[in-house]
Amino acid sequence: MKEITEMLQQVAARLFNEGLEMFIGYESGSVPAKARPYFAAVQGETAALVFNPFCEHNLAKYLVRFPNAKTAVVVKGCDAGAVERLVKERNLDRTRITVIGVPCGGMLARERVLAELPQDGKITAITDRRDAFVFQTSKGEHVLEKKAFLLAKCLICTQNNPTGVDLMLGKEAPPVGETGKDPYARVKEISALDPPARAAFWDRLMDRCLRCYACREVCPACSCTECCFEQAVPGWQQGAIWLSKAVTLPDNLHYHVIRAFHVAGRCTGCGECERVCPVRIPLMLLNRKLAGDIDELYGPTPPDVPSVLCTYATGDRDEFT
Amino acid sequence: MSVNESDVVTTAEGAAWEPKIVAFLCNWCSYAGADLAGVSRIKYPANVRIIRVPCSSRVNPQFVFRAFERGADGVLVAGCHPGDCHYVTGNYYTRRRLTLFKRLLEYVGFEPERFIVRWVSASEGQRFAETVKEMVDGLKHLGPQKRVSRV
Amino acid sequence: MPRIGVFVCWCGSNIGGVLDCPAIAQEAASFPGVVYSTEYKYVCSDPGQKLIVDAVKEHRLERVVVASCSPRLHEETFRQVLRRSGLNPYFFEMANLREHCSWVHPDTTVREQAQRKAVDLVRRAVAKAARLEPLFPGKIPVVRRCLVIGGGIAGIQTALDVADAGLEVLLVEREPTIGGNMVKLDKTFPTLDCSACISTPKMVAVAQHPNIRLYTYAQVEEVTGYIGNFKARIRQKARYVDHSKCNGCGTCWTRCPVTVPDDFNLGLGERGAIYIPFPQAVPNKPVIDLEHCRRSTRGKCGACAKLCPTGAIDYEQKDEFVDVEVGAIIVATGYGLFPWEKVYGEYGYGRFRDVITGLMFERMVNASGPTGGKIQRPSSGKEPKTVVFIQCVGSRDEARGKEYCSRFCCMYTAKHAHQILEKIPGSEVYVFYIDVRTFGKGYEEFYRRVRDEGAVYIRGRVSKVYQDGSKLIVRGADTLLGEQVEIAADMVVLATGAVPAAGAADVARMIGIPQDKDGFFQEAHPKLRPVETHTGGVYLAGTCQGPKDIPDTVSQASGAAAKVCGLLLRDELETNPLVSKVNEALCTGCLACQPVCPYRAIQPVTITERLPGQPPRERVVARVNEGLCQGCGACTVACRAGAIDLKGFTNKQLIAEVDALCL
Repeated sequence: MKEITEMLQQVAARLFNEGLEMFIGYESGSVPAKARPYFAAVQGETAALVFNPFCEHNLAKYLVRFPNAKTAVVVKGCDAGAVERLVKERNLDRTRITVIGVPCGGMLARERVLAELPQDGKITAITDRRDAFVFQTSKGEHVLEKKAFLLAKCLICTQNNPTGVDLMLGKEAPPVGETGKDPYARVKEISALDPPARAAFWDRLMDRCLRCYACREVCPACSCTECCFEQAVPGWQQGAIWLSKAVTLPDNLHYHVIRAFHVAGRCTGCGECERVCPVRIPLMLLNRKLAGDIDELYGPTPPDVPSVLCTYATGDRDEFT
Repeated sequence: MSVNESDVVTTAEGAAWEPKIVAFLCNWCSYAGADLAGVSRIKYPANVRIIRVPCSSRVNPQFVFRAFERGADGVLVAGCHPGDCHYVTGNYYTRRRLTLFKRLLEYVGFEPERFIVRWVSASEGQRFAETVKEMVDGLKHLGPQKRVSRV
Repeated sequence: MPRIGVFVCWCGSNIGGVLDCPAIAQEAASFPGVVYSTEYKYVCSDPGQKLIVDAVKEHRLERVVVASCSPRLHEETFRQVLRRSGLNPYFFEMANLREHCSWVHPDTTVREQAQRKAVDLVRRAVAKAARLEPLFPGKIPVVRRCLVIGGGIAGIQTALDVADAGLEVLLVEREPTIGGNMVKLDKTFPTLDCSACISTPKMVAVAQHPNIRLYTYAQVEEVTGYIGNFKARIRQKARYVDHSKCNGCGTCWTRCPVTVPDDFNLGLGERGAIYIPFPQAVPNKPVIDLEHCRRSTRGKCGACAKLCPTGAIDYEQKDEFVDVEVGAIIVATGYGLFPWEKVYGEYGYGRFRDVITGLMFERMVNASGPTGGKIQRPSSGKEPKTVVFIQCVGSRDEARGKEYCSRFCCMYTAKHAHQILEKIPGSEVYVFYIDVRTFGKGYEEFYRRVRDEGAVYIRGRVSKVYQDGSKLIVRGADTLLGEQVEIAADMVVLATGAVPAAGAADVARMIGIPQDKDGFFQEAHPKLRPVETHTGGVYLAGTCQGPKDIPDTVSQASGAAAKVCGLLLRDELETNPLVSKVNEALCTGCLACQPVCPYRAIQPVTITERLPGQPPRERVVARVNEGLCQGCGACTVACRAGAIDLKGFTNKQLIAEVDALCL
């Protein structure tokens, strides 16, 4: 992990020399086993950059905040699609952006790691040993098997080396996801329930949504200038009010179902919606359901088409006859 | 009076409950099909309320959800048969959108009978009537949609 | 909130006999925005329309709701009333109480439900009306050229009429000659004039008309665009004969060594591989049927090329494409015959050579036909003495999927009976029928005459036809006498019904015309708009719309021509103002809307955005070409932000409609 961190700092320094105006990466968090997004605006700020298995955030969406600056961004395999998606939908000017890819050995579930490490130990180094991360702490060495400590999304990961980047740091990482693991296993379980049980499952989850919209804010596919759910101002867009702001079960379900539908075929699978949810709604269960259906029904969408819903085949499966 | 008033109301309502269906029909095929059912005097249950749209591709899934929120027990979207769209390709998009949307609705716990998409041509008055009848039967079996209804 | 007026129509007893119109009007008065509400017997009538005009003035109405019949019938009528009242015609909304309520819920047992439904439907209309905005049509130029698809008598008549009015016509026929089915007929009922004699002069007139461009052996492959401005692609199939060089001398087709059964004569005769379909074909120049040409099947021959005095034979010719622009399209693709061999086992599935169809009889009895006009049994060439006609083969036969009456069979059978009795002395003619329908001018008289001449009409179906030696035994029922009948016949002629021409479904799809349940093209209104379709600028002529005889076909063809002249002789067309519009502030420029537009009406444009406190920024947004947009609204749903809205069917209106219906 150390080399990647060093490389990042060097690259950032070089880019600033070449006229870069903003570098979006990660720095260590203020608490152990945590990283956070970091915005370096000048040469002197690059030393704080790090990369470690706690850099789970997808930084792509931050690019939208700097439309006029020459910006560099660090992406993992699962984040690269987000930059692509934002560029494809004209939210970003690709010529102003330098995309820096880092090989990813998987991201760790912080709670589980903390529970494993000695409470008063300070992490001094982390090494990726293919099947495990080795933590050096002030209390000694700890080997954390990936299988047991990776985030759920990393266990089904198929794209841990970014593509379409301008600059790739380090060596290509070996595959992280467990082979043979069905990414749709949970979706299938839910689908197998009878309708009332499915309704109960989702109602329990949706009931706790605060409608903080963090899932939307972080989502690289939710890139509307003004989200339809906020167009509640009469006179605006001929005054169509799609959804009440009330935080009730029907409104919450409406919001999440339609949001999932809006990102159908455009979701890059980064899982940020789920990560940022303060009430831990497993939102990827919605996105993955759609991804599975799209895959089953329509297969891959041609690259020149904006999304699966912007095209058709006359022979598409017809479930309405 | 010894009769419990609330009981009376419930019974009366229970006996009278009729499902409410909101139907979005495309102007060129399905609305015309519903007109033909009228012209041909084909009877069907009076539970359906029709909204005319130019094409089934005008139907935003949000309208469907909206109807459920407002207390609709079922929602029907009907358009021209694929290949026969007045706007050439509109219903091919409808088919993709609403296939995914219907599957998603069912995944979050809506019964399949609540949301129906059908292709009804301008000459299929009978099919329109049958679709409504089938839906009403299915919904009567399910009972009122209370889950996201705010009424 | 605009001031809304509601007019509930009784439509005589059509609505008023089922629904309590005064009660609906009374309830509507309480809906938000409604300042005036009334009912009237016939709102579409003159006094009914005046009621609206007066009420608009007296009550200062700003929006009008009429609760009556289908907007597909009278929306335009009432928009004109609004125009006369000084209101924007798009400040109008209809509730469909007739087709969608009183006509389908007439029973007293559901009266209360129907009444509630009617009130809901009016509430919906009022909710939409409250949110209507004024709309203004634009103007587009018109291409003064008409495409006619199909060169039968319908296509010929309509092309001549349009061309005579001074408009350019492109007539496309897929066969090597125009003329269609009519030119195959021998004589026409009831006047018994020679069909070819009256149709071939019209064919020649088409070929010689300065305003008509004729494409035979050609097909329309693609149609895009819209009323006034269609684009079509015509495939000129390779004829392997250069018609610009050919002088039609006939040397080639008389000397071709190949013989093939002849489609024009329904297989009763033969032709060469290079051929003209019949002697008066237009154009009178041949095509090569490469499938049977010896040069292509065996690699050598080339007789026609050697013999041709003008060097017109070109074996290497390829299909060519012609792209044309037209303002209107008349579809006249005609009919085919019901494929009886597939389903009528009782008539032998086509196994018996002496069981023929009416059209085969026409060719047989025609002087220029394969037998030179001699009526003869195909099996032996001998003259038949006893002939049985069977009516309604593939018509009025629900079991075979054809419920409708093909309309012309009764009359052509009567004509055939007459021809047999006239040409074959001592012959006997029996006609099995269900009903004899003689609806046209002089038809009944003709039928009577044929019966008087000795044709025996037996009311009943034939249950079996089988071969017995050289005879065909026809067994059937005489339902009037209630007994079985058995006739030993020499020949059986089937009155096969009409079905849409082969390929009609492809044409329907290409142009966007709905087909009825039997595959005939659907007219815009069965009574009042019989030649129009629901696709603007597309008209129907002849049997593609439904079975009809020649006079009806010609009338409809002229009707379609009149419609086209009415359209194309204008300088400009008003565009439909119900089109999509982009709110550029909301548009992110993702252009998800662009590919879903079937008319390529959405294009990206770069705008300069000036937001307070920020430097001006260039960005891409979607823009709708209102001239191209046809208002389907597919883009509005593709747009997640709701930045595109459809005028006349806005998100706000539709949401309000949903809410109003669910109350």
